[in-house]
Amino acid sequence: MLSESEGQSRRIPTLASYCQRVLSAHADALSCLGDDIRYDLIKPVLECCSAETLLRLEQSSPYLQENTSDLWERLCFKTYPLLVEQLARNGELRPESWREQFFLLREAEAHRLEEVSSKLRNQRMEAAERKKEREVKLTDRLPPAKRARTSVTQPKSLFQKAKNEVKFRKALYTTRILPPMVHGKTYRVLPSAPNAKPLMASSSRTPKICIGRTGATGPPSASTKLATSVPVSTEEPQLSAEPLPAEHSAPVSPLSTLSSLTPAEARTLKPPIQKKDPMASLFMPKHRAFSQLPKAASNTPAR
Amino acid sequence: MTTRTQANVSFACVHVRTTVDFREQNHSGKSDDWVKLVSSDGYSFLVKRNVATVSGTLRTMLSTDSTFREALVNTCTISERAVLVEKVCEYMAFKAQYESAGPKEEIPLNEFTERIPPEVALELLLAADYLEGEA
Repeated sequence: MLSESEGQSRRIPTLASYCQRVLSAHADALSCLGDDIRYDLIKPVLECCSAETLLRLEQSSPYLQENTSDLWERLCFKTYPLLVEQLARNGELRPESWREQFFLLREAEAHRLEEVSSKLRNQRMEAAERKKEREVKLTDRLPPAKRARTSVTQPKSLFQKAKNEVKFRKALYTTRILPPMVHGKTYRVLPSAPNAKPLMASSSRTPKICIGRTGATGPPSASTKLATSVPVSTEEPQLSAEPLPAEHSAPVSPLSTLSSLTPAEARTLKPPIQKKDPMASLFMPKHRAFSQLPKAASNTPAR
Repeated sequence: MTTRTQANVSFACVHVRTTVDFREQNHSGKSDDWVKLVSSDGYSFLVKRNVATVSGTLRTMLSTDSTFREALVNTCTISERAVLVEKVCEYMAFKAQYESAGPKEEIPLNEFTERIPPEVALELLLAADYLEGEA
């Protein structure tokens, strides 16, 4: 039919070639080729089918297997080009059974893919873990302190020293009890004056001196009286030698002066600190300058 | 060798075209020269002789020069299913039509590809191969 011996110039494709075309388009839908098909008839179709289809067709029509080695070779190179090249370079290529070679290559490829994917998975998991560590966590325990709470530190710089000294001197004039002035140390203010007495008694010659209540608690009039009176009394005796008698006399005089005051003054005097909440002192400015008490009363010589 | 039978009027019982006396038209020009192709499942296809002879195999079988029985009765039995015989006839007609077309004419070659359903393509391939035999 389909021959050109009629002498026509144009070629109409043969029916067989039309069929081959259609079959090639649907090559992977082939399930079985039957027993009597010629290899060269079906070859163009087999060239277009996948490895699975080829395997299936071979299994159903075993006689085809003799001729399919070319097809398998083609499949090898098409599907796994890099691996085959690698093998060819190493000289490991076995040209006899291309079909088996194909399946070996397929396994190798699957293996490699598995390795790479597991590596990726691990990397991703590690990255996720690291991220989780950094995220905000809820807890009710305190985190470890970054640095230990510092106790009273020495004033490092000269400026700091000067500041402290000024502070200290100012404080002196506002307390009822005036300890001997000692340089170079900072002193903590204790809340209660009556407690000061036994404390002072206990500390004999130590430089630590407990000062009675400072700050602007007392009305300046009474305190000034005390202030003026006290230094007089303490300065006379030797300061370093006998701090004790001086301290003893100090509490006596303020008490005596207290009693001599009128009740009105006494009321305004703001008696010692027992009545006051010690915590309130936290919010009192240490400097008289920032005090919010009435300014008229404050006219200490220290200012 | 096929047995020689008398070409007689018994043709009348087999042909379908009633308007034409089949026997008389046998030796006339090709324009009215019909042959019958019979499939394995009993279907008959009437085609013009020039169409049927596109197939080398059929041409041999139907050649009036031969002594084959088929030639005498202008009937060819093809051992394929009717579906396939129909497609073969279609192809032969397609080819016969465009064979005589001038060089300037466009042949819609791809048109025929669509006319082959994939389900029959494999069998059709085998049938086409068989019928393609050259004269």
